[in-house]
Amino acid sequence: MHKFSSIAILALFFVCGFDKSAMADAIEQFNKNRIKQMSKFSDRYNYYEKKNGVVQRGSKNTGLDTRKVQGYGKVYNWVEINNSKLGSVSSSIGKRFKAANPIARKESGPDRNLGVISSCRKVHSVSNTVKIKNSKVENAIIGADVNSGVSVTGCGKGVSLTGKSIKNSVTVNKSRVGGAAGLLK
Amino acid sequence: MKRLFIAVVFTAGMMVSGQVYAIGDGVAKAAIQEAGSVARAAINKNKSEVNVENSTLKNDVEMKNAISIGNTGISAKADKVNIKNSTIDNKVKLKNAVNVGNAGVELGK
Repeated sequence: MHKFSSIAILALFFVCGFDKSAMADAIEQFNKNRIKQMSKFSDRYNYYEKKNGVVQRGSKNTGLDTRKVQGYGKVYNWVEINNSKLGSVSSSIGKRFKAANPIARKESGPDRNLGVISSCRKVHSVSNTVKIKNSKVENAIIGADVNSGVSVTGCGKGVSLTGKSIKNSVTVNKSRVGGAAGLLK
Repeated sequence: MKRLFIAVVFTAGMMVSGQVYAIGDGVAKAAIQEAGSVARAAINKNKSEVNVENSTLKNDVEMKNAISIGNTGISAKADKVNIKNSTIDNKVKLKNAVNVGNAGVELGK
C-alpha cells in the first residue's frame, strides 16, 4: 500500500515539475509519518522526536532493540533530536563502573542507543534513520559511547545476515554525541 | 661369490631401511597434519562468524560541525566474515566533524 502511495507522490511531483530536493523531502516526510503512525500499533516500528526540549507526541523509545521485537518482519526506526539535550549527569552516575570496565561494557552494549541494536539469534531487515541537529546526546562518562547506527554485536557463535537489507541513514549537524560531550565545551 | 653375496645382502638391506624410513616419514607427516587440524578446530571452536549472503547493506552517514563517540554506521562484529553475493554501499561525509568509533560498515573485528 505504502509503495503505491510513494509512487503516487513521485508521479505528482514529476507532473508538477518540483525540484529533486523537494521531492526527496516529501518522500522523507511521508516515511516519517508512516513510521510514526505504525509505531502506535507495532513493536517493529519506533518513532521518537524531541524538539526544542519537548518530546513530541507519539514518541516511543530513543532507539530500537530488536530483542524485544516479535516476528521476523522488517524493523523501522526513526529518531530526531532537534535543538535539545538528551541524557544527564545524574542518570549516568550508575554507569561509571561500566564505563571503566571494558568487559562490562562489551557485555551490555552501548551506553545509549538511538539507532537499532539487533538480536543475534534473528537479524531483521532494518531501516534506521537518525537525525541530530543543534543538540547534545551525552553521558557524563568520558568515553561512554552512543549507538546511532545499526549494531549487531556480542554474538557468541556468530550471526547471519543472509537475505537481509540494512539501510542506515544518520545525520549529525552542529551536535555533540557521546561520552563527556559536555566537557568538551 | 662371497663378495657378490655380501653386495646383494647389503643392497637389499639398504632398500629395506630406505622403505622403512619412507614409511616412518609418511606416518609422522600424517600425525602432524592430524594434530594440526585438531588444533585448528579447537582454535576455531570459540571463534564467532558473520555470514553476509544475498544481502544489501546501505550506509549513509553525514556529520557537520559535530562530535560523535560510538557507532553511527553498520556494525556486525565477529572473528570471521563470509561475504557472498551482497551489495555494500557505504557513503560517509564528515565536515568539521570528529568521529570516534565506527561510521562506516564494520564487519569483523
